[in-house]
Amino acid sequence: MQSKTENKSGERQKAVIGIQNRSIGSILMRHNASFILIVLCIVSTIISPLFLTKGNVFNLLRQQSTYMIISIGMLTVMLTGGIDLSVSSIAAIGSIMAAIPLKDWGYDTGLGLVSAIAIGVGCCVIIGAINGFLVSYLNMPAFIVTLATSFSIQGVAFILTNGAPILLDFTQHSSSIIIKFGEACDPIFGIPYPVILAAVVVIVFYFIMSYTSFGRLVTAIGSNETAAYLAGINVKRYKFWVYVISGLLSGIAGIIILARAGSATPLTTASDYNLSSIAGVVIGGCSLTGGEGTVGYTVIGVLVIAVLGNIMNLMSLAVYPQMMVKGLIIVLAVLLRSMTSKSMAG
Amino acid sequence: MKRLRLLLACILVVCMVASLIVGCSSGSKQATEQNKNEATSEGATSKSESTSQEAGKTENPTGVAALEALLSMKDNLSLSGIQPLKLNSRANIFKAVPVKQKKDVTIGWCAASLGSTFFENMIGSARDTAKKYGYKLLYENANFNVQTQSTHMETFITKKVDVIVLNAVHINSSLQDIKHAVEAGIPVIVTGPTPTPEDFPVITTILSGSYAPGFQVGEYIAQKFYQKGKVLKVGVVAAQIGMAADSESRPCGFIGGFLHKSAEIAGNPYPSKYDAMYEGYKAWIEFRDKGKLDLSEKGINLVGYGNGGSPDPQGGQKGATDLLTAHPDMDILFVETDPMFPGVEAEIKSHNMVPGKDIVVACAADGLKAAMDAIKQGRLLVTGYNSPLVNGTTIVELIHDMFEEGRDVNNLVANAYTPAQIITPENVDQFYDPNLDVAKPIPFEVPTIDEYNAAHANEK
Repeated sequence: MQSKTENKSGERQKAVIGIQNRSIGSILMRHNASFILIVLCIVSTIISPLFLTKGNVFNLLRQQSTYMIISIGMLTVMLTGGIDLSVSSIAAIGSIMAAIPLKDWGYDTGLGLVSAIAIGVGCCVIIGAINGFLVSYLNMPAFIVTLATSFSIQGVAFILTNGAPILLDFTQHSSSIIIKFGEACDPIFGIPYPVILAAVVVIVFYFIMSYTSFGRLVTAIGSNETAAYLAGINVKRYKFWVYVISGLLSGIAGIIILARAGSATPLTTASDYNLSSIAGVVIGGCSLTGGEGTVGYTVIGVLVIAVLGNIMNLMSLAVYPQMMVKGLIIVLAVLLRSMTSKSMAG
Repeated sequence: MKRLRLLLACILVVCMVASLIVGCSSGSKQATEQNKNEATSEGATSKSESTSQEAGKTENPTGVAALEALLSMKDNLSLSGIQPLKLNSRANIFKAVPVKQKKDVTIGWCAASLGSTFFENMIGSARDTAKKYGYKLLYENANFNVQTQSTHMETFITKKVDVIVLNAVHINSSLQDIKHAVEAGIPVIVTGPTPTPEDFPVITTILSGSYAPGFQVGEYIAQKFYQKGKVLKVGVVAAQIGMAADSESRPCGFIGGFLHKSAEIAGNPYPSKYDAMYEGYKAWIEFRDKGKLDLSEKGINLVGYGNGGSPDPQGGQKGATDLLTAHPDMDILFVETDPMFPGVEAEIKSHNMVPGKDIVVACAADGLKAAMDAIKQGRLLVTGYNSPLVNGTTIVELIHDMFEEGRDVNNLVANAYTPAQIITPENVDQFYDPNLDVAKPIPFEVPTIDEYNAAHANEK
């Protein structure tokens, strides 16, 4: 039986530890992504008066709408300890498979537009399902499966398009609607429609990952897959569905790409969505081994990279220094992240 | 405390490594600049050897010396398509010619990529021309992989094709394969995308130069908009500045052409166009490295550039968006290539501007049908002619001349650049064919070295 003195010193220790956990340093370490974003925004505002203008902010958000949506999909995959390296290719196929009906199959009505979008996104869901099946039910490494899928889809994209971009016809009814969606803003606040769509995706997935059993179980699987399995969770099913979700969201991003550029090109397969989404998710606090990460901080992570690129462009910084600075900041953010993880574990 | 120290140590290490990299790269650049002034340029004649020595001594070489100075630059990614005025003979380089005359020719085509309108149309036109003559055209796609292309070359050598057409992923890496082909009695014709060194045992290289159309666009813009005392604000959108010859050569040419024509209009012309090219090159390097360059005294303010990442509409959108936000008052937006134009146009509209009215857009390639439509409608002012149909057709016609007409191809120029032209509202109908995705081909014949030298004999 512990003496009263020992009890009191134990409580004192706990109180001290509690104070240490609430110190400014530990708060900053824990929320380092937010801290970095705030600092970047302040510095950007000082450097360029254009940064905080409505035009620039909305343009920035419009550019990042596709990255945001893809990153949410990447988050769900990475929470289970997996990875999806086929997101760029899937987004490309989504845009191409939506563009072909609009351009070549005569889908010129509102219903035609919906069908074209459904075809585009549907193809992406199927690809996500293939990824999910191979990773979860056949136990193949996610890195290899999604890399292989990415290569295959690249080939398909080039075959479908003959290597040339598919330009939508502005004079067609259905094409003009989707192009308008990519260009226009809501009449009340002036927020671009792609940004609104990205916000809806973020909000929906915030609730799914925070308040539903699906979200909690996905995180649990990433924390300890064996324990989750022993607890009776159908691990394979959940892992399958996260890849389907990643495919779905990449497909939605592909539609936004089509809407914004008015074209679909196989070169989208080689764009930087893979690495940028992974970087955004990791900066936002998601662990590469799974089990940690939130939608909110993923959004912050994506915005960190976006603000960085934006301010360097507004400053007309040359291309070589831009690459260096971007890499440096990402390394710093990930370093802080790993130190936070160790301190929390310790 | 311990963790904080560790963190600070890591930051310090990263900063030191970064500054080391930056310092080393700028140091080597300075050393390179010193070296280039002492080096003799490739392919220079004995006359130009003395002028290049003079170039090394003078800070601002002039005339032919300026051209020689440009040709001797190590940082030459932005000078694609520039050649000396006089070329050395290549007759003594063995190239597996003359060939045995025959009708049923088999062509082995090693493509670097088939993933763009340009490449697809090039091979399409080659295939059509081969069909016309009854030739067999076998092709392989390396997908920008050097090893894969080497395998394809070896395959064609094993199959004993009559001639190999190489669209090189990286020409220097292909030298051994070219030598093997020639030793096996198979001549090799190269079709870009980068120039071939003169001592390579190839018949010729047919490619489009990137500098010349940029230069012509610059001259056209100056002709249309330059006024003494007025400064034009210009932004540049390119795909891969720092990495691709096209992305650097076209804007570099644009600056040179603008300086050349604007000086002429101002009544203070350069002694030669090579002086303008030299000054344009220096301006481009400074613009590329600093991100902006104010040449108000020359009538142009280069406010910034955007790197799109890819030569397609999305690359155009990515490259244009922040540039338009930072500089909405630009007069001219120079876009590297017109496949990027739809994305650029979308961004211009997103910024509540009208292309052609609020901002003038100019491209330096390729002459796609969509771009010519935009020129007709006034949304795009000018683009460069770069028809892939010329490349494909010219190569097969050359093969026909070799195998059936007995043409002597032993001393053709190492690099034959397709005609450089610009497509403007004034001449767009000459290039426009509604049934083609690209501009109509202009007939083009590969010159011999003697023909090339004779054509440039009076240039200075």
